[in-house]
Amino acid sequence: MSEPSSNPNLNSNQQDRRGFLITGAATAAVIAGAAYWHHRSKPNSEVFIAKNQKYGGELVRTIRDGLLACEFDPETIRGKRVLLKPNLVEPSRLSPHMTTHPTMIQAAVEVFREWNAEVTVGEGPGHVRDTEQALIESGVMEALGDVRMSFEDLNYQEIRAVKNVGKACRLSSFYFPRAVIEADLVVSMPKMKTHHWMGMTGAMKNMYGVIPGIKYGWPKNVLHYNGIPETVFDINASVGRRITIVDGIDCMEGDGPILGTPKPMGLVLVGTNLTAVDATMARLMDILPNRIPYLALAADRLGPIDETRIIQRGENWQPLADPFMILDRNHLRVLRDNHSHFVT
Amino acid sequence: MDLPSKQTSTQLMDVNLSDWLVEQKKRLAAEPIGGYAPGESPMAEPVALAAITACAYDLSETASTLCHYMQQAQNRDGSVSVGLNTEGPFWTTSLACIAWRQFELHWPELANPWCRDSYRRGLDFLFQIRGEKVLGGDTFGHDTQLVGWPWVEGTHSWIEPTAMALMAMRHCGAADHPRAIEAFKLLSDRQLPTGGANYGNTFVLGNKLRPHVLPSAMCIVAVHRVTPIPESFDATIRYLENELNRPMAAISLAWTIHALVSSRWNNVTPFDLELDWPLRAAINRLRTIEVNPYRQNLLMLAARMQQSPLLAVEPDSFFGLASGVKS
Repeated sequence: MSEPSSNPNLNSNQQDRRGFLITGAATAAVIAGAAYWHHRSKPNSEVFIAKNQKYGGELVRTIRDGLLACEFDPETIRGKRVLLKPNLVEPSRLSPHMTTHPTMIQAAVEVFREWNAEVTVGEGPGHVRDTEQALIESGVMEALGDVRMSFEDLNYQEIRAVKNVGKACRLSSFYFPRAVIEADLVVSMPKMKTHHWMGMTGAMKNMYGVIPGIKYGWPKNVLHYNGIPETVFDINASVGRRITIVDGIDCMEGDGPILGTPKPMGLVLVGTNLTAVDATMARLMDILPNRIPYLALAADRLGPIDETRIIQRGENWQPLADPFMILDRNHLRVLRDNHSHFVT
Repeated sequence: MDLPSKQTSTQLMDVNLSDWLVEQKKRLAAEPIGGYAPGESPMAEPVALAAITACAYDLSETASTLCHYMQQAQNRDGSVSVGLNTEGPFWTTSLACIAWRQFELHWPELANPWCRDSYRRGLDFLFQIRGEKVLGGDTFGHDTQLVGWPWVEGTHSWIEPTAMALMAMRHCGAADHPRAIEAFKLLSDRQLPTGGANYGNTFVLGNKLRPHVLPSAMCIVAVHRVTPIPESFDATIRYLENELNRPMAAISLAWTIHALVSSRWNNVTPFDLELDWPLRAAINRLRTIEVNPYRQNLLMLAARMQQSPLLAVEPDSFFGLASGVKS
């Protein structure tokens, strides 16, 4: 893809108001790359697990306790922009276990508002061009309305190129929407699911949703053509500060991320390092983390996947592990050694 | 986008469609050029659809402004970028061509000859763009060797850009072009066996995907007045009829109304679907969310029903080119 140029159609007042397009690309690249180098220099990461969680339960307390247990400092986001990024890839009323539950989003909104952050929710649904339809279908429109929260449509917002810091794929830059570039903190809020190409999808893969469909298509086929593991790695390396809150309550197994069957787990995972959280999620699903291609790429570069370098907070993962059914396909059979819990 | 709470949704008065349309015509004439959301930069899709809407409501000056705006943004190779600048992707070229052609049909004296030149150059560009073929095997259910249009050059063919390109060719007099015929085959091939169309695939790794409203509706609009029509499209129409009973967002609804109006084009019996209520429901919902001219324009177009310029195409026949064609 070509390198960006500023949009000639935007007048100077609009540019000044947003402070978006006038910010230099170099600044954006520095902000984006900071997370990459920070993770490289921090050898260990905390991951918090809460069990027996319900959508009607005390999710606000769980999320707050989890973040604090992971040494997240609320002072760092006071007055700052926090973007919550749920997974609304292809919402369907027939499959509520596919997308991040609306009450999880509401709870996270409340936590960050209590910490005096400027909170927004945004997503660029990967398979649905009509974002309003995705919000209706997922129940997120009503949920956000009830907590008076606006929504950032990441598929259609104004965009700017940010340098690809990861450099695992051929793309020299990524186009990010305004809300992502302007966010001081992006909170990946995935659903705990299997994925029929990658094995599983979690905090890191959920960041595909910050990539604008207007530039990459529906699906974001440009990313597929440049390698899913590579682009997952690169997007995560290139976005600024990120943390994650995982909806692991009603999960999906089998033919995820869209057509899988429900798998109740009752878990919430929280962490300040997405790689470490995804590695823990894999273990909970009885998947070997180093067999997930993007986790293998991210290991020790974006965060730890080695168990000895992940500091467990809350519950230990071992007693909670429960194998997820995985499609019985050649490319997925390597995900576990014991050849059990595969499904056609 | 500010989202409505249950309270605000129920407090708002039901819209009067006639009054709303009067307001919207004034709004469109006063500020025709815009993006996907208020305050955003102009983008090709909203501008093209605004131009088509202006044609639908006899707003010649507005349509002229919009069509000229796109003409100035047209690239030397005939493409029109999503961002109305030189960068891709360029799938919006199809919509620009439809707008120019409709402007020419409505006001030939104002359009001659620059509109024809613009859409012909646009079509020349479209003819050169091809989706990438991929290996099929048992991974995908659709015919991966059929070539349509991608969202972004260098990637696979998908339903919506292919539907838009087919519409553009049919509107602009290129229905007999081999690429139009192959586009028709592709759209036929990608209908789900139980009706509707996914965003692009039918089966992946042996499992049938779910239908989506917007691509399903765009397929039906793209094959409007094509006879005979493969039976698979009938199932898609039934799918859309069922979905009409559920809350539907503005863009999906606008295309669905076009599709369902198309499905009854030659009916001699009175129109049997209640479209006024879902239209007002979508307008009411939109009023609680935000002022959004892009979505409002699409609803205005849908409100024109049979008179929508999106449905102003001649009958075409691709007889025998797709399987399951009804006699």
